[in-house]
Amino acid sequence: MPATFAARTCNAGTRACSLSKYAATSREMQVALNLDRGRSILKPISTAIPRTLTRLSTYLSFFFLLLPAHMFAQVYGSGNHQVAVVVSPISLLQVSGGAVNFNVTTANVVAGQDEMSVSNSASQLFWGTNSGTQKITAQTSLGSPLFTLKLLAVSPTQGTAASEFALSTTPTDLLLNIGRSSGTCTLQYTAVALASQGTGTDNHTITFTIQAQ
Amino acid sequence: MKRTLFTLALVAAFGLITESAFAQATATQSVTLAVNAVYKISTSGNPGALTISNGSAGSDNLTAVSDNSTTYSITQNFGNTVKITVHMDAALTAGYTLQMNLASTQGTSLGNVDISNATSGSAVDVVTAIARGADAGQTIGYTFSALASAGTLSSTTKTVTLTLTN
Repeated sequence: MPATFAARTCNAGTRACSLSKYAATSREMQVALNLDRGRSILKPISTAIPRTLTRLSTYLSFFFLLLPAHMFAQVYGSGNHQVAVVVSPISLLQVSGGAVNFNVTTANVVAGQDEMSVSNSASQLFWGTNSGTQKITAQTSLGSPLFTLKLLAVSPTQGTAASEFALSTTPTDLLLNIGRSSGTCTLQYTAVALASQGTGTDNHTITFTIQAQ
Repeated sequence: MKRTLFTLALVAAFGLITESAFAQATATQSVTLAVNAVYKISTSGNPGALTISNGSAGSDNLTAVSDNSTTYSITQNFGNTVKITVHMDAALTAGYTLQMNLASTQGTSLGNVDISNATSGSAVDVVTAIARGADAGQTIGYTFSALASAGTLSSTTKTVTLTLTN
């Protein structure tokens, strides 16, 4: 007569278990050992099994219990998911050298020339971008300067320097054709004052912008 | 379906705006430009020797000699009341006269000005009312005259100083 077993079935992925009854022959009973990570979960309800079979079943249970658990490791399921990786367009600009102060004095003047000019190349511009074909523009905050302030990018390590230009409130190209890279250049400011313009002071705030060309 | 498409469009638009916002970067720097009062004057060199070696019979005034070989240049941004004064390191002996005449486009030339007795304490004006700006390569004229009654004068060098002042 077949023995009746209650079997607990577990899903390793969901960790959900369920009990169910089923009948098994004595041979099946010997092998119907549903081991969950090395633990026997057979629970006999009634038996008409000969004692020898019971013992054999017990021995087999102990035998399997002694085996390493990993030998019975099973893949109960698999899954996958997608990882989205995004690198946004990033552009950085930095000016080194601090504030620039021009002071036009008699020492900067040639007698007979109305134009008095002074240059300063103490500042450097650093940039980095991961976007293609960028440019850097420059503009001043001063709407009506007394004197002319010119700017030129000298020796850029990347891109092409635009021609020297007088700063105004309109952004003007300083560097062109900057690709995905980092680079630096020297900022050459030239202050130009005419003697005929008299004396005075201009305070500029220069804004550099890196943007798509 | 329409709602899904609308949502996707919104997400795409937001993505574009975000990219655009990060695509730009700025940096600033302060630049101060100060122009002080400037006075500058220079001369092109020294005139040739002014040597009197002729006269007119019956006249005490010997024949004067001139030199217009030198020039001066100026630059000033102070104002429109600037002038040029001249003085020598030492006055000439009586009977000898040294005149200067400075051309000017920015100011008013006073023509031939006697500088024979102009020393550091008594400089004389030669150009006045000079406007702001520059005046380059203007001629400096020297005229040296002497009286026969004053006798001869061994070679004497005078230092003439031109001063741009207000």
